[in-house]
Amino acid sequence: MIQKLKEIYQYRFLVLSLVSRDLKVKYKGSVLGFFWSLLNPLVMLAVYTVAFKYIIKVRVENFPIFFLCAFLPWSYLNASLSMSVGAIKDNGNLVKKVYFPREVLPLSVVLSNLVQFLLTFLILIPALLFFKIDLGLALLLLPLVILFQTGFNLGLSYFFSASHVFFADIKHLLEIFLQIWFWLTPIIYPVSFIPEKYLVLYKLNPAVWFVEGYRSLLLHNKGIPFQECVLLFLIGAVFFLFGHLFFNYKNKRFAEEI
Amino acid sequence: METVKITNLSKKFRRYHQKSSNIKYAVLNLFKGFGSSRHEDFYALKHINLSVQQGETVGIIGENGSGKSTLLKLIARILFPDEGTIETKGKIATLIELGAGFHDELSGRENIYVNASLLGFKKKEIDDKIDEIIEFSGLKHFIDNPIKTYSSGMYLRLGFSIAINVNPDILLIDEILAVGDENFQKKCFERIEEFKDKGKTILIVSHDLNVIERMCDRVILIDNGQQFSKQDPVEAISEYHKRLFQKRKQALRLGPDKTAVETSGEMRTLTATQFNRWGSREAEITSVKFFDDQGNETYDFRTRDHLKIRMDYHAKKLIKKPVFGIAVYTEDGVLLTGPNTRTGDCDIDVIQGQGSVEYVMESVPFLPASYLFTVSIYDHSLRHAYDHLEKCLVFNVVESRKVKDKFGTLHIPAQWRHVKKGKPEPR
Repeated sequence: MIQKLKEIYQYRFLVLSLVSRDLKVKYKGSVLGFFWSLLNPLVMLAVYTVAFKYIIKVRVENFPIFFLCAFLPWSYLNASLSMSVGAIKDNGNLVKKVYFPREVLPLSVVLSNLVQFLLTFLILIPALLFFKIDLGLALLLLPLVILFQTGFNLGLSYFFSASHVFFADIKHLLEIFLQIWFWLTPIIYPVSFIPEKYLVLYKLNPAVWFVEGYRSLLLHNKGIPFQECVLLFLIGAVFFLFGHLFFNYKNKRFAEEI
Repeated sequence: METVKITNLSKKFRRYHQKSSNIKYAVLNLFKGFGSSRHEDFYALKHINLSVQQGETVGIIGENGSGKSTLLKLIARILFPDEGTIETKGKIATLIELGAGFHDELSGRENIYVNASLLGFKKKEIDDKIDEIIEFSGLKHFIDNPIKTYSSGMYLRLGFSIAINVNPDILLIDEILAVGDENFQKKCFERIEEFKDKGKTILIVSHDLNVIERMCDRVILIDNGQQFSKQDPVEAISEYHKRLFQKRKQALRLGPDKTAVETSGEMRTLTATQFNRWGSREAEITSVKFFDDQGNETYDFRTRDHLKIRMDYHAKKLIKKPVFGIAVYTEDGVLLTGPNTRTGDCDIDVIQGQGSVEYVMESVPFLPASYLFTVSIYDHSLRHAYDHLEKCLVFNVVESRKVKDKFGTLHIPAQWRHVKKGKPEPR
């Protein structure tokens, strides 16, 4: 495992160039360039605000910020998974013809989504200031939460991209799964909406903890209790480890099965 | 120093009867074990042992499907062995797929960075090399254009330049020396020779036995996943010819009809194991038949017989100026003749749909033996193969009373004359 990580580190320039290739290709030739990355969440923000604040009348303070704090990390997760699921199979011609650590493929997808996620803070921070939300020391914990979520995203990306090689339907299953997952996560409603008796079950969803973590830091300017920090770390680490091991186990037959 | 050491290597592949990577089969097969539908294992390589010293050039030959590319991919770590071990020392570069990972929207220069990093190189190393790579490719003026504007030749040239200019310790080459024009090919060979001189290790897989013989210190013959014990280039290559010929003879004798290419279905099964076939297949050879002067189909002739070869083709689209060619080889693979419609002044303007081309020998010039026959369709420049069936058929020349020559291969129409000294014979 250590050896594998070392090797991936040795190929860091490949990761870097794949990430920058991803981003370059994405924005090349479009007039607004990377502003599309910002525009998209803004539009979603407008749509959901109108729908849930004014039509359905969800009573939540500062709905736009409440929504953004959860929606942006969710988008990071959502995009990471739906883009990385085909990472191995779609690059079949590479996998079959060139050696390089295959982890690099899902890894670079997740990292390029991380970059875009970080860019969206260019919207979030001004929005926080605009709505006069106090920002404070709690922000120092933000990099940690982002790191743990990246571990979580990465683990799942490893799992899905490796499974997809052997089982093509996983892509479609994932789409449905992500839809359901969106509604099972407190993005457009607060956790308090969940009836008490389902709460334990509800909190088995790891995304709940991440979303709540982000909200606590950004919206409420509150730290995260130590136990919850440890829990976030564990979620990130366990998912990463599991994904990594699974990927490595399946890795040996990628080139034959694609 | 040993740079590649392979010990008792075996590789199994799965042959699926019904590949179940969609949900219907997965559900049906749930009871038989998830996702892994009925399959059987077969050995692509069996008990391979190989030790390559630094500075050696080793060729790997064998028929299609014999396992030679699999071996190269195992060394390149693209595939993993099932049994045995492979140890390698130093950096490996593979010339298996040129331009793998190129992205159309990016410029040539940007693609060099992505592609070289795929081969495991760091930014600094690429910075040092990039001028040389661009220089070598001869694409200086286009290097900052997106490569979607490149022609396929330029594309391959860029890919080759990257792979050959990075500085590996072990170079793995699989059938890619047929890149670009003659000039560029020469440059590539020179670069590979340079590599050799620098004491790098090279492994080459190729069907082109001339290249193999010219470049390799040792040759590994792989047949049906197993290696031939001798590695001397001359011995291995002649063994290869011998085995090829044996198999072809057997296959033809067993067939219902002596043409190896009677029906496309049969052809396909033969392609995999019996002979090499390549080409873009816009036009295909659908059948090859030999006839005697009575118009009867036969594959046994006598020297000086009349022989007619009819090749049926099917052109799936309109093809301008195609060139049909044949070639006749001895059992040892020596080329005896290789005429084509272009050199034979039989220009064909266009072909589309079905048709046939005939080649008539008024008098068979071959002495009794078995001969191998190649047939092909090329474009006008003879560079692009539409369909090429290498040594796809065997025909025999048997003893005849007409010709009593015994030695050599050819019967040359000529006369003997005895000239007595001082007293020339009157004409």
